[in-house]
Amino acid sequence: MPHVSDVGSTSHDQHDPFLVAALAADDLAGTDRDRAIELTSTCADCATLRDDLLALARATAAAPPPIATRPRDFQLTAADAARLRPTGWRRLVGAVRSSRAFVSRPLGVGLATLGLAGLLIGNVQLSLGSAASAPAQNTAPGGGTLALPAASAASIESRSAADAAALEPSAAAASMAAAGAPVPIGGPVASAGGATSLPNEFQVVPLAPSGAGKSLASAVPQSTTPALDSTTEPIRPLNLLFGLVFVIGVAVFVASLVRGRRTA
Amino acid sequence: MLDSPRLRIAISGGSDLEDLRSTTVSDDPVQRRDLILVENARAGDLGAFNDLVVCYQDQLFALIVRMVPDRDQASDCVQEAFFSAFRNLAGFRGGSVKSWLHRIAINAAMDIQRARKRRPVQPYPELDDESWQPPAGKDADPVTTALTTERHKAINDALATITDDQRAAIILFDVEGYDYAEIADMTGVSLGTVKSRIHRGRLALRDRLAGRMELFRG
Repeated sequence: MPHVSDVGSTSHDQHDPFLVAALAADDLAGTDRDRAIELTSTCADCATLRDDLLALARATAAAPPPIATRPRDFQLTAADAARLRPTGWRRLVGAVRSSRAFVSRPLGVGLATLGLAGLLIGNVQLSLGSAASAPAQNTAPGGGTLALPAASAASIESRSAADAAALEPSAAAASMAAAGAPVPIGGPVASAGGATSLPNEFQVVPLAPSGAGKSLASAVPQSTTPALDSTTEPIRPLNLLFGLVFVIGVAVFVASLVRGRRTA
Repeated sequence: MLDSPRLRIAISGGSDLEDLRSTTVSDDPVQRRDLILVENARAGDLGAFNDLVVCYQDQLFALIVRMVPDRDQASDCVQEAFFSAFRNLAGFRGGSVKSWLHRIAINAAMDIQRARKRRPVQPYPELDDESWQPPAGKDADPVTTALTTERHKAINDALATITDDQRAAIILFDVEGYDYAEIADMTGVSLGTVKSRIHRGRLALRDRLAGRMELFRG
């Protein structure tokens, strides 16, 4: 075995100090350990480094805390306790967070899946409904007029109670069309499908004598058309509900993931 | 506090412990005491929780003040840790109460350190009561005492200059005596990362103390 002092330290810069540190902590095995032992037995600087690291570990363990006395008492007062006790929704969140992972995680995943599925199905239904109503509009003659059958208008009206409530003028239009009156298509009725709207030239369709058309045109103001565009369609309650379920599911899942990290 | 009637009853009683000791049933009286206090605190007994605070506040402050070497910040950190423990009593899963409290305190300290990094105002101030040292033995040699004092000051100063992660890992390993797996669990990193932080931290300490290593040799 070569004597430590016999080995020059010129090559020490190329030695791996991390390996020596790992050896000092007794964290090495196999070839790494052999390499580290060889380094410390052939390089004086590596040997010194190992001894220094061991000495520092001992000194760290023996050192008192830099500030000896705590500046205050940390006991909780009754007011602290009252403030910190979870109430209301925090208690609910706490219950979810403190529940076992095998309960809260599947619950979160299930809720999120249910919410997502509900959103998808609801919106697919919606777009299918729009597609069904689209041909009636697309096959319109190019003259800028389109007669919407009363039955079609009525079916659009009856598709959703929410739509009917939101698009009140379409109901009026449907009833007028059933009575043989001209039907305004560009506005409420055309956008009842939710996903499509007709260009401006289809705003008013005179089907009957001009007097009736004028009266209907005046009954449905032009300014309502942009407000009923598909981009500004009111959020359906069912979508809102499923969205909420999805968000709650994700929140429960995330809470169950981070639960153990900080306090468990 | 340790002589309080409540505690004596708690230690001798030892009922209703099984729910808390999900992993191992401890024969350690301290551990049994802690579990009973936690159980009583869960049932709404603030006094039981405060008994726990009294038992651990010095330990927690000594731990945190090494990681956050500023008296006020360390103090806030320990207080926040006890608040957090009280809020999350229901989340305690059994095992060592001491480790549970240490984990909460370490997380609180790391939060403070992260906040300090986000809003850097000034480095940690000089430790304000450097004069304090543990009482020397009657036969202590003045030279040895002076050397020891100097050594402690040097190591604490050097510890304050390495990275927060390295400091936390070294303190938990060398001072608190936790093993790698426990530290990994407490700090939320892998075993390899813990080892790496300890090794690199010690190398960094040696760099900082390059001119004063004679204090530690021999």
